[in-house]
Amino acid sequence: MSEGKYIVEIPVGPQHPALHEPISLRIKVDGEQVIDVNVVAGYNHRGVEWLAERRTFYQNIFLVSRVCGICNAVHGAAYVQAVEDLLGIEVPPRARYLRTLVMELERIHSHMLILAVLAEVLGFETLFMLMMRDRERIMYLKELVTGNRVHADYMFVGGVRRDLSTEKKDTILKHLAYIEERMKYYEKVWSEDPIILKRTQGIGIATKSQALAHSLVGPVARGSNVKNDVRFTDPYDAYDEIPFNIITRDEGDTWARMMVRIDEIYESINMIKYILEHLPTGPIIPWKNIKAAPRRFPKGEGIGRVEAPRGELLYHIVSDGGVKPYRVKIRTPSILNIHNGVFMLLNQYIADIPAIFTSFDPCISCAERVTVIDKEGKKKNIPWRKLADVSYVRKLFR
Amino acid sequence: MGAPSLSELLREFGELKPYKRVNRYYINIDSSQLRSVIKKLKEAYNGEIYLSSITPVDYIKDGVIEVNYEIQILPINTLIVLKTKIPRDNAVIDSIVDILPGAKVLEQEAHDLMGISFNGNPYLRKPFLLPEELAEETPLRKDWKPKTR
Repeated sequence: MSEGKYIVEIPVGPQHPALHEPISLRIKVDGEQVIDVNVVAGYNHRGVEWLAERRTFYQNIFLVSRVCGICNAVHGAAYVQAVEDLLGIEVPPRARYLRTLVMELERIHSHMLILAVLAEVLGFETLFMLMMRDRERIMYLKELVTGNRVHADYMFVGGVRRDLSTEKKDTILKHLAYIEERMKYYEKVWSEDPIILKRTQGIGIATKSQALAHSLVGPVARGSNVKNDVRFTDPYDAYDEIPFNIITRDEGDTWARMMVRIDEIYESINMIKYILEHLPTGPIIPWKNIKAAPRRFPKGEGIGRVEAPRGELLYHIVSDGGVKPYRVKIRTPSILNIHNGVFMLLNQYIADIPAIFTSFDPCISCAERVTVIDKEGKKKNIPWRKLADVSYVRKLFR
Repeated sequence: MGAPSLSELLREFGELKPYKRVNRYYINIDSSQLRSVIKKLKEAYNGEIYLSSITPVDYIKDGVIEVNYEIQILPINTLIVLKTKIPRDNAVIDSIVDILPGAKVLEQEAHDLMGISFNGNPYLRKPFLLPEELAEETPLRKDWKPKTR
């Protein structure tokens, strides 16, 4: 309470109404309006950077993919790009195109997911289910190309781990045509439905200078007209050979961020079509056999940057000449968008918080990566019965 | 515009060196000059720069922590890494959160995991990402060991 105002603190989360991941927003409100936001994080810390210093360069390819489930292929791609930067390896053209193919498939399904989740937050549960149903086709295509539906584990230092046979091209094109058709319908819903427009337009605004100063990345920045896309500013893999447009919008509100994602899905579909048409022939790794991959790593450093579905993802690797990296820094897009983007919640209404926050496409598992180790170092297996004993419900009935 | 003008701009602070990939450079600067370098970059490019990451690396043998500031300069599509060194036992560096507010969370993370104090950042708290029982510890320093049985 301060000077006659009734200020109430409301905890939003860690069981968040919008996300199925743990993060807590401590929101101070004056009446219905938000006046201060404090992000409490750390519920999901797993220690990936610490672990990466204790595993070999090759083991880490599979570790970093586990940082995030939704954008696992881009994590692998950023890491191997940093290692290739360290080693000075040239990636064969076919592998560069195949990497791009998988990363664009990932962008489509990630954007569809967050579009669906925001629809659910706004109360459009049928739209959520329809989009998730169609998204499943992209998951199928990802399985077709990489062998796994979720965790692709597709990237390898120097190339990729699986080739693409020509028969699969038709299947991919068939499903993409379906997705493109469906996206036209979803775009119509997102741009015409009066309830969606009322709940997203003009709320959670970030201006261009705010987006730049607060280091916002990805669709959140591009929704505020910041032309920041690593695919364009620092081209990697095949992005310097594939034609595509950077999607930006001027509005800077929640709706603009979602429309950027819808337009990016069309761009990704066109890119995949281009890749399948112009896929170069040749090997997928620079050596005859994968066993010939380098075993010695020079002293030095490597930086890997890719445009993940959520924004710029940066890996900074330092090597001291051993088989393990000396330091692996992972800077995910979500940590910037979640913690620095909360200024957009100020002066908004409580009811709009889930919609604004979801439009950042926050990924908690990306933002938090340090392990929880029991102080005594004991491994704890807690049986369900014991867990139930300490539970609140059990106490009520005691 | 391009790399020559960038090296011209930063001549007084040190020599700009290229990485292997195009449009990526690094420069070794003194930690006391960090703020003036970033101010200069921000002015020269009309604020169209953004702080991509802060990467602290613990060199325990040399007794220093190297703090890397990866900054993307949008008008010339260039990544520049500012490398500064601070002593390990007195890990204090000036905060840049008033120049680039985006540094807030990156400084919080570096403070929490590497134990660096950023002078002038009011948001620092410990634990930030770590669990309560590790509040006093800095897991990413090389001499940190998890308690074993």
